[in-house]
Amino acid sequence: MFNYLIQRMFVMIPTLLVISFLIFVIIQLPPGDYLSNQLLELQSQGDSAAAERIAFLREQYGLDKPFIQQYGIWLGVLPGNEGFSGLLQGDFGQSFEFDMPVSEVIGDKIWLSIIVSFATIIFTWVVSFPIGVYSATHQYSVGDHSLTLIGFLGLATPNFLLALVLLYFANVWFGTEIGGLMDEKYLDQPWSFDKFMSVLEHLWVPVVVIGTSGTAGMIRRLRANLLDELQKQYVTTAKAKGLHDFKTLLKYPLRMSLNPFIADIGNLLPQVVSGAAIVSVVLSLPTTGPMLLQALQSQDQYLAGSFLMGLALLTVVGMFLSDLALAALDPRIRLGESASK
Amino acid sequence: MDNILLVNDLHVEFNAPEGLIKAVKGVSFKIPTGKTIAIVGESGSGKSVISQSIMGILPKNGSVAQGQIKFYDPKNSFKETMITSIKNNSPEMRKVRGSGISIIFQEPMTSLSPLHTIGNQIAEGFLLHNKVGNNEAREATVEILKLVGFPNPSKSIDIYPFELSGGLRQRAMIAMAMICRPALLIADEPTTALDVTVQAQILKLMKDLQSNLEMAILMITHDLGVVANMADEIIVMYHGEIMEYGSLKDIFHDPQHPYLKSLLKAVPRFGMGPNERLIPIREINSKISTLGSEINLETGNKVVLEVKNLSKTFTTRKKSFLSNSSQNAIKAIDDVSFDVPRGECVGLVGESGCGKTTTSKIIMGALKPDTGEIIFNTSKSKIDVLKIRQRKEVLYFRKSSQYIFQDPFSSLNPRMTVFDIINEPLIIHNLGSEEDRLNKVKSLIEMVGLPITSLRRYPHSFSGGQRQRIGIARALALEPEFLICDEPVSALDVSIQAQVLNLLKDLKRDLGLTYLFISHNLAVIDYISDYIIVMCAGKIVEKAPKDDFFNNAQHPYTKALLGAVPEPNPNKKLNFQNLMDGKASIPSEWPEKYVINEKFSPTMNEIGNNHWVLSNV
Repeated sequence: MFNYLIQRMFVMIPTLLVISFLIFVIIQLPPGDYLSNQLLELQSQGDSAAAERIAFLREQYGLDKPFIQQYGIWLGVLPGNEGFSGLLQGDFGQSFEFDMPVSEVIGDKIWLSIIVSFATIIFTWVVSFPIGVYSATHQYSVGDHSLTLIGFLGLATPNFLLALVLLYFANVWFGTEIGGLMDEKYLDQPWSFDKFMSVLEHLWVPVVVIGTSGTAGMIRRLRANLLDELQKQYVTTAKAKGLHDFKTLLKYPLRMSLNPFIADIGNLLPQVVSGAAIVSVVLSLPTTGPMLLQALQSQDQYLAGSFLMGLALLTVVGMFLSDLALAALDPRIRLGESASK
Repeated sequence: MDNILLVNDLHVEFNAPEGLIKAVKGVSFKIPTGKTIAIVGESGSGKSVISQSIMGILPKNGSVAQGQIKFYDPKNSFKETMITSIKNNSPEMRKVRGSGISIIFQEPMTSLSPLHTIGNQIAEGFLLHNKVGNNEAREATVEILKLVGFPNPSKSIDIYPFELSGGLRQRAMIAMAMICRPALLIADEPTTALDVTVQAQILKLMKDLQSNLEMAILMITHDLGVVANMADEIIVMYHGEIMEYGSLKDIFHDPQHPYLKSLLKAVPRFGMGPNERLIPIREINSKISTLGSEINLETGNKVVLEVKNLSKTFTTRKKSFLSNSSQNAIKAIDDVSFDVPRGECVGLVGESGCGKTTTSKIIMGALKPDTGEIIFNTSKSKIDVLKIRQRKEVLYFRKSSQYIFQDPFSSLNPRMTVFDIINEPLIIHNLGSEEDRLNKVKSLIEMVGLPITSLRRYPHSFSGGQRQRIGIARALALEPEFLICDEPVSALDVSIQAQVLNLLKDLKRDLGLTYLFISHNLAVIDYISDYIIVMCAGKIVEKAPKDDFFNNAQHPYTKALLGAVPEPNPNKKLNFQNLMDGKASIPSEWPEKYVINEKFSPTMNEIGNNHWVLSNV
């Protein structure tokens, strides 16, 4: 088992390297770069000195160097203007658009993103589990049918539409400010209890919006998995021992049907971070989704690159964590290697 | 004598989509303390439904429509519990389950949760029914594991079910059922999924436990051999009704009901006369006609299949680039050689994991052996099977040798009609015009005794036996000379078994076919084969003509195998001493003349009349 862990860790390194290269290639694919766009804009405004300034900046940022060298500098294996300083050294580079280090640009927002993401995941699980279990144990009952209907509605409604509807009602009923993740007065304030409460007050709308389709999907999957497991002989065995029906359900079939969900954590993390971009735009959430969109559009290459790298890291680490959790939960995976011939 | 269970006029109904199904219609019987009652019947006769009603674990759509089940708990001075009038999930019912009445099921793998240790699952019942702490429960678990014959019980307690062999899993299951010392154990086909030698051990264990704990057993089975060895009283069921109910002696020596009489005649048993036929309960009408090209037994090589020195090793490797990769080589088959003569049936017997299916897969080209040679002689030419490369050769080989599979359910594509299924080989080999094919498929389906109207239906509308016959028709479509039958009847009911066996026998006689017949059931092999090969742990341990095999078996493993088959004859009970304590299938435990270890590697030696034994000379 220990070997397996070490092995998995080592496999992650080349994976991330390949991903970083792919990311860099894709970002560079469109013709031109941020500065050439900038140049066109300045020239159209009649700025005659623009070409010189841009050329200076280009050298400053190292955009005049060949592609491979740029990649090496970004990664931190080749020396740039300031020596070895790249991803490996923990330096994400400079954002052109904000004229600030990428880490500062992302800084606060990444935390808010993580808060929204985790709240969404928790929301999804808390809502979908009881409903999924109920649907499975009361298959084809009135309750099952109506919950299924609601679930399908949740799956079918476009997120941004739901977002607008909820925003309206949040304002009318609770008087919550439209948009944002906190009251405006806390925007550039240090964290305090009031700010935290304000975040909580605003949080539920995006969480519900982003979480609905995931919740609906999970209810369907949990119901299907559980229905399969409930048929199994070992459930009858447990009942034959005199175990209460509900305790049987919790101890055996529910635990068996958990595997797909844990295997899914790896996918869930990046999906929640990036997938909510449109909702974030609609709700004008200060999360990372809209920023990624903007960075990609304006070819702000270091910002976009670091961003995508972050997502890749989340995916790979998430997969690793879900594999660990699976091994902890399921002895067949933990011991299977030697046991099943 | 006190009765512990009374079943009175029990009716059970199921609410199925196609309407109300009456699974049990007015069944009454009683179970006396410490006795074994066996319920015998085909699948669908309602025997398992009775056990589910007694346990109060009927599926949701089932209900007891009428009648009573009364349980008298000897632990509670025979206080009466009316099982049929209390709710399934009520505290009273849960107290009966596990503590008063326990159940063990057919399939030991699926009956245990793979995520919990066996200790956890066994102790669960003890904790539920006794006010004790975890330590006491653990002690009780170790004790019961010792009682059911677990090696090293205090360690085994923390093992997961998938780490155990089938026999040990069933022991764990029995331990789980016994931990509260129930007054009644319901055993629902407890040994059907197990090998014969393991089956004999489990039956012995149940008998020992019964006399130790003074427990009654309700045994549900379709195997009359098991019944003859275990039961005191027998209930024969058919379509939800009791056909016959009596003591062991009466049932076997003086069967009254026609159903029981015909059931006894449908079961293959040892020592049948050379021309004696099984009489299926429902005879099928097959019109066997040669399909054009007739196989002439006289022409061509006398030996259809020559298998020479076949070996195959499977390696399970723990891959890791940090530690040295430790290889775990398992010899699936080891130096296997045999011949299959034209027009005969060679039976290949062995327990699960002995390599018989691997051998058949190699012969069909589905696996590549490490070493060895397979020569296939058709009536026209000679094929070196392992050297086939070109598509043309593959087609030719496939045309002359076909396969009949074990599982009639998964071996037919559910999305194809029967016509498409039987026609497919003809299309692949591009044989005849469309009209020719239609005629051929028609004569094939008649040959296996199914009406022509069934061609338009899909496999799901057929029973297991009918599906197996469709599989046979498909195998015969290309007019092969040689058929490999891999456990073709092991998934079928006894009464259906006879139909399929007779059909295979007739086809062989009338079409001049040659079979390699793989089975774990010695009685079936005895009925159909001319020559018998026994495999154990990847090696052939004995091969002999049928009569020699049954009268003059030499190898200890063969003897153990023969001794472990329960016969449907109460006068010939199993001799549990012959089992070598479950060591019969371990080559290093055989007596010195036959042992395989570092010092001895025995060879096949002929003792006359083409009878070969693996021994150290």
